[in-house]
Amino acid sequence: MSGCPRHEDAGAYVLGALGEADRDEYVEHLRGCEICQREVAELEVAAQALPLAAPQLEPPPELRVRILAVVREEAAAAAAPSPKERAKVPWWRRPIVALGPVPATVLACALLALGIGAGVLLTREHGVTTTAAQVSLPGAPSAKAELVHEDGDTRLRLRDFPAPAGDRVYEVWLQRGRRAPVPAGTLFRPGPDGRADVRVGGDLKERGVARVLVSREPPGGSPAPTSAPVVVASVA
Amino acid sequence: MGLDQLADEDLMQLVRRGDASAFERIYDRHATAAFSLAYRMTGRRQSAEDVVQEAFLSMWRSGERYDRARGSVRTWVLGIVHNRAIDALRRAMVHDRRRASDEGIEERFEATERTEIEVARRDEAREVRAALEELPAEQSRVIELAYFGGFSHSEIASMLEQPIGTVKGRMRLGLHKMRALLAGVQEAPG
Repeated sequence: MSGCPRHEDAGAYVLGALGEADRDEYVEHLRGCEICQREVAELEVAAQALPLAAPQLEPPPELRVRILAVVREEAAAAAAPSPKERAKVPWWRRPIVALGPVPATVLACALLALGIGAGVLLTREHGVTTTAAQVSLPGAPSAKAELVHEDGDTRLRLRDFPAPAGDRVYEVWLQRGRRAPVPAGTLFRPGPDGRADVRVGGDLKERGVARVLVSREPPGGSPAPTSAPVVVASVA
Repeated sequence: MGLDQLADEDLMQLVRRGDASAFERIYDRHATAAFSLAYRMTGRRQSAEDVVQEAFLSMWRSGERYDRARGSVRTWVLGIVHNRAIDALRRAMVHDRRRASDEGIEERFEATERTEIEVARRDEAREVRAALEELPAEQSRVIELAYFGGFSHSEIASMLEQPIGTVKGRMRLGLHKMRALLAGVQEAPG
């Protein structure tokens, strides 16, 4: 096609390859140029098919769990809860005073104990940041947990952790601000020596994650926590 | 009619009203193409997961509205994934690290074909790959660098030591040829 000195830009435009200034200028030009409008419309057909040229790969199942847990939680939060529904509000959203008498005492103590001191910076050297996490396992006073951030990767290191009862597992959660925790996609059981070293994700701070939590869950994990956290680690 | 029988466009009406189950169907229909594109662009499993998560949550939160006048839901989804992947590439400046991609991921995560629609999509994907491979090497190179690499025409020109005009011309000619090759390929139903 010819007749417009800018028609050569159409290919780069539909591929998103014009620089910002060139793109703005071309968009302005497009408004008044029928030749380029036709050219862009034709080339878009090919450009829109390009994503399919990528080899088709199955996304990991835990990604689905993570995304849909956030979606379900936000959908539920958007619906105004009735007084009856309020009783079903998960523990991380519930004001402590609104809980029943036994869980209020237990949970208030647990959250208070976990909240105070969670995120004590242990070391920051050679690009490795280690943060102490708070652990609430009354039967395992020596249990320890640390969040280790190194080279854009974050891991949780646990020591002297008891195996959860039966076939239950520990599940890792990510919490942004005061929002509902979402699954990190990591389930684990500590080894016979009580140790576990699990990958939590990339740069959590960059992803807006404020805290990493661990709770005991049924086999296969849960879309939302079903028990109070046994580990709370603030992201440094 | 159950949600599974609804077209993407109708599901999106429900998503707009906050229907999480409708969104789940949209995710299930397009997550493979979205993850594949994100992985092809970033070359890392973790980055691809982050891109897909960001893209789908932004769709859910309606930051980026679907407008059926501007094309299919799949085109819209993949457009958002593409933009997020380019943002991620620029943010992390992983252009030079992408060669060291996760080894063997293709083998471990290769998508399976469970339904007729998925079979149709795989066939369609094969046709698109074949069309891209049929282009002269210099045309497919600039198209791949621009679309999957997120490079601008001037970056590609300096990378290949070619005039900008030549690069732009190759992009346009290559896309025209692809369009002609794809003329018989229909988009699989949503």
